[in-house]
Amino acid sequence: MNTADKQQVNHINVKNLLEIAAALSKEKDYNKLLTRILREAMDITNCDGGTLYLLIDGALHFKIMRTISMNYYKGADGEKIALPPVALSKKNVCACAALNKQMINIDDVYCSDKYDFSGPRNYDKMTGYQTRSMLVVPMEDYYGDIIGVLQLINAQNQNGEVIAFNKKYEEAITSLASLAAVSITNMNYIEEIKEILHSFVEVISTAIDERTPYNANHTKNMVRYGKAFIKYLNEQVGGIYTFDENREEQFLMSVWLHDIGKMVIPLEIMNKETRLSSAIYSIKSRFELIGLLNKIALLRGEISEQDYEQKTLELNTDLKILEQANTIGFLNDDLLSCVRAVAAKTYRNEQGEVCFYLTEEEYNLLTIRFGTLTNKERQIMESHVAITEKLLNKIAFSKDYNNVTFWASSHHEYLNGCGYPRHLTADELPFEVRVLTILDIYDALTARDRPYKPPMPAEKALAVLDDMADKGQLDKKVVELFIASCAWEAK
Amino acid sequence: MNECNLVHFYGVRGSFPTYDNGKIIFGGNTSCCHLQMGSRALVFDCGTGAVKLGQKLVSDAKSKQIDLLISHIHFDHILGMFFFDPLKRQDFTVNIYSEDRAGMGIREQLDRIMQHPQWPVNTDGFKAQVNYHTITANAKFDLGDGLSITTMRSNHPDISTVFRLDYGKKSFVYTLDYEHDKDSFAELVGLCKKADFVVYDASFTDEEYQERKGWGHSTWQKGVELAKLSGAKQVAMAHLPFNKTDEQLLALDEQVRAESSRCFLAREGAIYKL
Repeated sequence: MNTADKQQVNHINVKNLLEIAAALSKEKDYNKLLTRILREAMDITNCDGGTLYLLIDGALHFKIMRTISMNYYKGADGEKIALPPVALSKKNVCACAALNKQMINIDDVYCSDKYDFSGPRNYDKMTGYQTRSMLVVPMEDYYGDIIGVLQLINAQNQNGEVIAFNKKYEEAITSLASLAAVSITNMNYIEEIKEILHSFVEVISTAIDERTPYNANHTKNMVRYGKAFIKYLNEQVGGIYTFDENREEQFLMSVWLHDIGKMVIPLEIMNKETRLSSAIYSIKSRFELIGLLNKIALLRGEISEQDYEQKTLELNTDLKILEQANTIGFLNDDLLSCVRAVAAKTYRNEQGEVCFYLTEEEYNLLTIRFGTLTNKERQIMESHVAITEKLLNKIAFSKDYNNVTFWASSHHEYLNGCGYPRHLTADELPFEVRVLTILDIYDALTARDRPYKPPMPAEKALAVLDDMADKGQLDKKVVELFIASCAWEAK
Repeated sequence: MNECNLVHFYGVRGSFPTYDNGKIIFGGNTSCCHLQMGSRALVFDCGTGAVKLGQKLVSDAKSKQIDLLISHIHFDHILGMFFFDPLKRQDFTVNIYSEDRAGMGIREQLDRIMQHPQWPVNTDGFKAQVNYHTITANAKFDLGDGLSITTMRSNHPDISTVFRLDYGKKSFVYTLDYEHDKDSFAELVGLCKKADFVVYDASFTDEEYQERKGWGHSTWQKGVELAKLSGAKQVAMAHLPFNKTDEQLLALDEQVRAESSRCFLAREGAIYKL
């Protein structure tokens, strides 16, 4: 070996390895990381070709292949290389390096019979290439397990002539291989942690949806619409509306978690179908009692047969009014005055005391104007966003997810400050929250599994969104984009 | 950004505006349909629904030019014009298209209604730049920007026009008000061939129609037939009877959708993508 090679080796040891280590630890994309490892290894040794294998399910899989002189480059963008994986047998040189956890340096594969070189020879035959020198390095992780193999081919001197791999490269390449192994393992860890987080989040949100029979797919639908909407924004709108990978992940994570606070909302409020809930039963038995008291009065001769029939008829009518008021969506003025009239009626109980037909509490429940929840119950229902925030604050999200808590817990805020819980206004509500709010409302309106109301057709739900935008509650532009996206049609 | 073409109903009732608690879902305003084709705003008929539309067009101020196509001049199709805000705005241009009737252009026809003592101001009171265009049936004309209109004589008293709009690959047909008869129905099927969206006059059911022949209105069953014969992708049944409640119309809507998945009752406020 000449002096130039030696100098190069020293040069690498001092300077580049640290730089390479820094660069590898910064790389966030898996394929770019693998590509970079191979490139650095080839640069250090000044060789012409190389392959990076990863050990998956007991075989070495081709991940990146490169031969500079042949202008051959495969796998760099994550595409699958259509070569069969190499089984871990002692015959193959790469497999052998992996099995023995040892570097193998071969001066000339055509003069060696230690291993089966039919692979490179076939390649040579097909392409006219000449494989000569070879350096095979196993990549070993923190636990001492092999995670892959680097195979370098045809080291070159400064004149571009193929030479053997200098023994002095071995140290540098071993260091690089272990750096590479650490980086790959770290990245796998991050992916694993993300996967655990994602599956955990999915489990929780499924649990929330499962608690209520109404709209059991609420969150899943929103995620579906969200993905389709982002796809539309990225492909057809772009600019400030583009979602890069991290923005999308954070956004979808906040969709998954937006209703987590509903976990602690009492079921009798979440699923309250009628104004009275179980209180209807005490009213029914009271009406039965009044009926019986009337009958006793009849039998005692205190009232006439005709009076009795009249009273029974009235009683039945009154109960029907209450039953209607109990379930109707919007309590109109007519029905309200009927309920008032019933509430003003009295009867004498067995002790002879005068009692009202309805208790004050029953009256208050029955006269809820819209929906089935009293103000207090509505407050409890609305507290789910504050609870979402409280719960998410307990999760130690990594930096990649630092917006999730705020986005998820702001999905009931309106641009005009009339939302809840913080009454935030437009300048405090980022684009992501505006989208989240729209997805939430859209799915709530169109839900098909609410027995107390028919599903609203898409075109009408869009009109509601449009109306809310006109009122200053929602972002006009986002509603417009959402309508244009047809995201709700995504399967 | 790709263009988004929308059909937005502001009124789907026929004959007479109506309002009560039982008419929330389908709404009570009379015929008015807004098309947003790219940057152009088109309005088909100016029934009472046009009042809200006018407010929106002014507040959004997306297009300051509006093309108003009037099928015919029966009250329920023009009543909203009295309070159509763009007409009151100097910065708006409104192009009004309709046929001549009784030897009068559309402006004269409007002035016959909008004059003392029926109404305190006439069309001179419009502050917008208003251009009145006389059109004819069975003709074609251009609205610019690639929008073209084909017209057909409708079977309805006092001269009514059916419009077909073509814009690039998108097409839309507006048939209010229309009564089917053998010849014109075949012509209409041709006009609606593979249209993306058709608004059809479904004032009656077949049963109700038996006693109302010659009134100038059709049935939802005919609308379904039109969808099947023409291959139109969506047929919205409009000009809904003012006496029917949400409950009745929801049931009818289900019946219509069961007959053809491409047919449905139009609802006030609903937005469709073309």
